[in-house]
Amino acid sequence: MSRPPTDDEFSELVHACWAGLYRTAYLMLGDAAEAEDLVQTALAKTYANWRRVRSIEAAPGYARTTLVNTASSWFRKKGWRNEQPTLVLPDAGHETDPSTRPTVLDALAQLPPRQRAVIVLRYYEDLSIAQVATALGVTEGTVKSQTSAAIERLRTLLGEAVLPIGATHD
Amino acid sequence: MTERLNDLLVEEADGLDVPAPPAGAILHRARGLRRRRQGLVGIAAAAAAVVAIGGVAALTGGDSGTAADPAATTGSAPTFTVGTTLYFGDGHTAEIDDKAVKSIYYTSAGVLVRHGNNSWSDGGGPQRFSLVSPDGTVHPLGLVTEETVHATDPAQPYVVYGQNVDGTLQLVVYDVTADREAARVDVGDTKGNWFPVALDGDTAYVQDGYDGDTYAVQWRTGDVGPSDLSSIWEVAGGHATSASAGHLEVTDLATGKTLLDVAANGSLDLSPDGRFAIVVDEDAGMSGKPTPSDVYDVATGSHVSVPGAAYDWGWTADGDLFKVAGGKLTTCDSVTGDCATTDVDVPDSDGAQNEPACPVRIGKHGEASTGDCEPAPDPAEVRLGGRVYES
Repeated sequence: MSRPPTDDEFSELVHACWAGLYRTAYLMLGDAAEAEDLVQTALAKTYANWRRVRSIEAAPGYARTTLVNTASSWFRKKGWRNEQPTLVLPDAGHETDPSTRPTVLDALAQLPPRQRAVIVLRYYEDLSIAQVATALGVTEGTVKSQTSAAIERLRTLLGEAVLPIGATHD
Repeated sequence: MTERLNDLLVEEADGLDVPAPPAGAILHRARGLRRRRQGLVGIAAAAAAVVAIGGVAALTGGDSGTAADPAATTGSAPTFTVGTTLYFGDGHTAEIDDKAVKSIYYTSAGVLVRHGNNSWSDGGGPQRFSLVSPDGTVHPLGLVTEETVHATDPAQPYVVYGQNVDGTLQLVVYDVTADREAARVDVGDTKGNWFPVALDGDTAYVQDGYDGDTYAVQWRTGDVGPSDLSSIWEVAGGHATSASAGHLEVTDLATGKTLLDVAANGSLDLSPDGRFAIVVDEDAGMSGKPTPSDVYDVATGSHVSVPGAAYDWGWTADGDLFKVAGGKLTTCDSVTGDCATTDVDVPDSDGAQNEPACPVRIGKHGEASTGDCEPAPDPAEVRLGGRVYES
């Protein structure tokens, strides 16, 4: 039988999970306020669904899954940033001086939200294609195509030194 | 071949300035979500046959209380606490002699205040109780509980809770006017110590923990039967709520008849008298965008909207909504939707719990620090009438 966490236990859980979840959320969304709201939502849902979580030990994993699922539901909402990057940088089209290249965060900002989420889950969270598909509620084929498109775009922005040709399907 | 990308992502993530974790605000929001997503199923069957599988362990004066119009006793004014001060919304106050208030309940005899060593809703040591009469007189009660859930019916002078006594779940009905147990009913075997509970007239509902069986208890006769309510958090005024994909319902517990069917996601939160229900959409307010919440009149099906998230609102005993924030008391009529805001003279308050007094910065390796910040005094916490704060 599961028992809800005490206030003290839940507060400890929040403090333990917060930084890691925030970092993932920020990489996925690129906005501090939205990232904070996403993490708060994920942790609140974790608490509210305790009968499924069942234990403090299982809670961090549940919260992480909930975070991704919630972000995915945000992406599905009509008009979520119109699926467009907020800032358009010119395509380099060729190798440029590495010191002038955008950071990874800048480059991620050029990706549509789902592509960005796929990159973060695949290459920051180290999830498999199947796991990403499940988390985002899309097919594995969609994950592959989104990954391919995103890598292509990132290679243009970050250069082949970061993403050599052939890095799409590792 | 993507190792470099992985490394860069990790470096960027580690370099982020992580804000302080607002544990109290999350808990506040979480409680709002939890209460409303406790779905109910098979309500009609719950009203059917009650089979005696338990027995009355003790009945000590079950008739000592008389039902009364809650509006005539607890009043229709917004009732809330800030710190240990109870505000009736009409200007007069009462002081609770304890360290902190945990929650408040409407009864026909007055406002029942649950208090203790801290404001924690769950855990946190002994839970003591005081009855505050409509004239503001505070009557400390002999009742002390620990680690359990409580419920009242605003039309009755009782508080109910479950208790594990030597492996048996007992439902306790406590008369807050007489300051003694009115009934103690054996419900069934249990290994738990935490029991969601609801009181609706002569019927009490109690669940053996999150995943355990739910029982309908006729507490005056001691008859106990299984209930099909999968959760009993939203039972009030003879009504119960349920939620299914895209539909929210209010059902008459006696007849099983559907009284209200709303095409919406989320869940419904009943007013203490069961006459109104507010739609709780857990996704409302995401990304900081305030969204209104719909309030339905169960009898007519008509609805109005009030601003903001549903779980920020408390209920008056007779079904109006109110909230307290920033020295303002806002009250909304659940029939017309008209809202009025007035200044309220309360200390600096915070509806959330456990907020850090200083900003906490999280380092790259997860370490937390508050730097040179001098902690400010903790804000007095707010507890609203008509809200259940226990998990």
